Amino acid sequence: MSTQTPSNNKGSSLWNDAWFRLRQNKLSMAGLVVIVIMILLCFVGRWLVPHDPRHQQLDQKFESSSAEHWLGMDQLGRDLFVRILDGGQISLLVAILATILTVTVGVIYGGIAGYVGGRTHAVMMRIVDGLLAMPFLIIVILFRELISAQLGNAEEWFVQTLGWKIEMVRRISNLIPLILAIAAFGWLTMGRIVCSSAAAVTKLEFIEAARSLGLSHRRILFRHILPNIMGPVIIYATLTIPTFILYEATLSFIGLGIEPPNASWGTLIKEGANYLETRPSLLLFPAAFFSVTLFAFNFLGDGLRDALDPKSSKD
Amino acid sequence: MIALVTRRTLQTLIVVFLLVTFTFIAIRLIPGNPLESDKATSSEVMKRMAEPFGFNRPYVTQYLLYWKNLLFKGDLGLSTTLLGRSVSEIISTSFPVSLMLGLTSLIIGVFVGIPLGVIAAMNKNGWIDYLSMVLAMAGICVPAFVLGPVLQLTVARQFDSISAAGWSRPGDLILPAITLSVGVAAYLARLSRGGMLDILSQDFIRTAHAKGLPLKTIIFKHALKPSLLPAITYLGPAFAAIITGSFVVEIIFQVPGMGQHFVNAVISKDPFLLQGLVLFYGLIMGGANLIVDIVIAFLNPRLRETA
Amino acid sequence: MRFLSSILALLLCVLLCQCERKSTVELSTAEKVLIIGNSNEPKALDPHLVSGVVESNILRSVFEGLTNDHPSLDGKAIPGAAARWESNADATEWTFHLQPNGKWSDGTPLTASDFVYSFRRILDPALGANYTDMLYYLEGAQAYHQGKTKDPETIGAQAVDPLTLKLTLSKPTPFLPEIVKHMTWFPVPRHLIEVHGEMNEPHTAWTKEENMIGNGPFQLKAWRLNHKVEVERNPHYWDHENVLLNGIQFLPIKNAFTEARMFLDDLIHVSDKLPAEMIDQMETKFPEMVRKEPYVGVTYVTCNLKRSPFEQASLREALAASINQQAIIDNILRGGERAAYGFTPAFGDYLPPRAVSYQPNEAQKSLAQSTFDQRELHLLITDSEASKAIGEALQSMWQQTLGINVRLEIREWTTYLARRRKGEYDMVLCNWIGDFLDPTTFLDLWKVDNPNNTCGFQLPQYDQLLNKASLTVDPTQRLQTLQKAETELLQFKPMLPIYWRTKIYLKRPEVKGWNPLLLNNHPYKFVDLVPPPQS
Repeated sequence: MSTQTPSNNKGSSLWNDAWFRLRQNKLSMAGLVVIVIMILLCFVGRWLVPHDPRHQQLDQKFESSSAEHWLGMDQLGRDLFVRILDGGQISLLVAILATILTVTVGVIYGGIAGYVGGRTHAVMMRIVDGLLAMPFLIIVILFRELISAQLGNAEEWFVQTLGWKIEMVRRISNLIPLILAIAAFGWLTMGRIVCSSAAAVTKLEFIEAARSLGLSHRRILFRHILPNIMGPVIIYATLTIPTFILYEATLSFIGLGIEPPNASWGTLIKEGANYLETRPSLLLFPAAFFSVTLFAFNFLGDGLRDALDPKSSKD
Repeated sequence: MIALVTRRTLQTLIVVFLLVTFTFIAIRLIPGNPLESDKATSSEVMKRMAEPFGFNRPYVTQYLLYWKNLLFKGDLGLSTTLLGRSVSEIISTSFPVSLMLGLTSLIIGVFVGIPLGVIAAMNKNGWIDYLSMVLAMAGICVPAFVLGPVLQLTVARQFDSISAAGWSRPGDLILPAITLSVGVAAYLARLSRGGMLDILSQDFIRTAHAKGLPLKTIIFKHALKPSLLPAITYLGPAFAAIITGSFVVEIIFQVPGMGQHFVNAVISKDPFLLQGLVLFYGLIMGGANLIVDIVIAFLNPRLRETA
Repeated sequence: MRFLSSILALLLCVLLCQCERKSTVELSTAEKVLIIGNSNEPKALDPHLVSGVVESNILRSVFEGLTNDHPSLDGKAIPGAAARWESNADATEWTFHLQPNGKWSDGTPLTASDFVYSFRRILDPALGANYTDMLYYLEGAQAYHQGKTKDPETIGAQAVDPLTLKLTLSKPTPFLPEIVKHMTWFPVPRHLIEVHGEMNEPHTAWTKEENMIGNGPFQLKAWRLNHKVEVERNPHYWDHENVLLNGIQFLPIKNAFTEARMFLDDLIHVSDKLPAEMIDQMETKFPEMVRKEPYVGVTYVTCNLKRSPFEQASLREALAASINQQAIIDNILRGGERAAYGFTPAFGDYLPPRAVSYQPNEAQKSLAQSTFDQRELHLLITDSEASKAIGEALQSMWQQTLGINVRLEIREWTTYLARRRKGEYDMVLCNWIGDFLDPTTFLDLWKVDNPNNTCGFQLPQYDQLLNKASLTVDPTQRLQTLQKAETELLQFKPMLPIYWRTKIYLKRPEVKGWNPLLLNNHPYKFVDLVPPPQS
């Protein structure tokens, strides 16, 4: 469906136009600002709050908001605000890293399938269909069990050789099986989208031209086809991030998510839901951060769609 | 059409075969023994317990036997967590429940989501558009494990005939179906809004505009059918996912459906049960996708030959 | 479209029918059918092949052992399938006289040889039962189960005549009437089992809802997967005139919050548990419905002595003394649990030694004495909410008092069990619930040859003391010896006790004859439902 003029290597006016159009869209810009603020809060602000998200003061549990603890204390006497920021770090890390993986694998796989076409295309897409029918949970458990042994060695190496703090290493390494599992599932849809776009672009004249010039397949694929399908990829990626945040939350509900004492927005919301009747603030505060971020990503994604696909934004 | 059906059926069968094979290997790779219990058991007794399930044989024999029993006797094997129950029995008792719940929530989702999306598209960038998209986003954002308890505390407390949880009275269907349908409705609203906007920007609609046809006629006579394509494509996988993936709702509302068997089979490493469920799920998924393809072919004559 | 309109019609009906309807609980009370939350779907209903509380709760209504539980007194056996019993002086030979009108629920008479058949069946190695050590009190039972002899006659159980059962034990067991209440000692119907398969064939169709019979006050009526198990009055029960209920429904409610909400929505009479998060709220709103009752169970952390650094006694001391037990109870559990100063909970005449308490300063001193190199320790736990909360609390306490980093290894139940059984852990968080009311149900765990002892604990004087106790007939002396053994055990500390459990649940006031019992095995035949007086 896309009939945009192919972009040149430098200073493509398409991207400039898109950026211009995006700036006109107030909701999307608000989304972008919220995302930036949220990332700053979680990754910088978190260290400015003078509390440790793991430190329990059991005698102060459920204390309500105060100058010291802005959002009060949780069920084990930990500062809720710093726990939300800390959880945001984990949720965003999981979602963003899994999205990067998803995009990389999906673009390469889908790009090849779409470019080569024919029988290869059909087989590669049927594999995707098959994997989509795989129960997600078994993949998660499998990854966790198979990888955790290897992870132990890697952790040792970081601690011994690089002298990193074990909690820090552990914090990241805990996420790896989860990220891999989410990405193992998530790249399939991305692969499909890329494949159909790539197939459409391949049929365009300038690719024919490039072929007749004798350019290598790799060059055509990476220099000409992939840049032209970045639109749908970026749109899908922004919409994937909130989906992955939700995935992680659902996994946490059945106890396969983040390991304590680390928490994510998903685990915080789930724990908060247990106090629905008695201490609704334990649910409301994390849920507010979570939904504001999800909204922001979705608005940004919608805005990008309109900006990158000029047709649908015409009135 | 017949060619499409045969080809898709063949493809589904191959996919299912590969899926079951993968599951067979995966469940045996995960550590943990399906027969483990909290009473410490000697390895001698463990061996005896494994005997009825054939776990003492080599994996290859187990694998071949599985297909032999399945193809020649229609036997899917025995569950190791629900002792004495066959996998077919478990599926046949829980599937009708899931089907009922899944269809109800899909129908609610379709009749709420699609109108919402179409109305939003007709009022693009108006307050109705923003309101419905915010609603849709909220629907996507709220996890079932928050919405479920909220409904239990509000609706179920209010109305005597709606129970907080259970599966004994007709009213018991309502809350789980609503919880499940919210996400579906939200997705459908977004998809149909996008689809409608796409169609509305196309030339034949512009022509209709130019001819002076009223907006209502344009929307319902010309734009609606093609604009629903993305939403319909989504319905196929959504149907399969909602039937097997409703474990959170099943646990919260005490619904005896299939979703919890999926989770239990994975968590307690019940090999036959998981293989059987994956097989069944693959078939449902294939069937749902086939139906979607057929529907699309009817809605969009241009695709009919190529699909 | 028709489907949709029927749904709409249904919705309308439901909303319009708001007129003065009676709640499920009210209707059920009027019919004298008790509705109980039972936490999970039973794995099976063959008393020889299950080991859980979920199954026991159901099976105790369908079957009855030689003796039965007293409705309100702990450790008192009342006549069950046996009307009376006597033993010789050193409690090694017992004679049980069966109820003269004892019958199966199909009307067939229940005889002593049914019991003999049942004991032979569960002990048959080919059946693959794993809860058989409950029968090892019988002479020759262990040898037969472990395949050392093929002759079932060697088991010390004999049908003298249809109504007289003689049991010969391997050592003095004055508390045998307590043991035979357990589901592993229930009789199973030979005439039904052998219709559906061999005696030693597991998982046959005899326990299906259309087939199953028992000898208890109730009989199986319906068994719907993940939905409910329902039992109804058994007209052939020997004491059926005195059974008060007409039936019981057991609902497999897995989520504790769902269960509490169902209770509040008048859908069940008795819940299985009450989540700690809701205890305060429920106690203020419905104080008469919240039950907190002592329960013979202990929660503790086992240290793997085969792994460094746990061979160091001073490290184990330090870990034990830095657990603030009371803080865990007051802030996480909230069910009136007791801080475990020993391993075996105090019940009856047995008093465990006072050997464990929270002493942060002592803990730091002990740690200084050890040569522990401050590496990170691992604690294996299950993925349940409760064990995660306790794990997190321990993690934080050890960090704050000792500066030791602990990683929680969270695994699903079966993986957790497999690793615990194979000894693949540094430390593991365990629960143990007593099977019967005698300290040996706890102390036997630490015998060198007990399969539960996977941590490498080995103390000859401990095993000697337990052996000595098992040969002692005088109850006071016996308990003293057991106490000495436990003192030895706790001095060594292969485990770090945390708390003694309580049973916290919800019960409606119309449920009568349901009294606090240490094992929480309520004999259903004495339970009644009395509607509250009209106000």
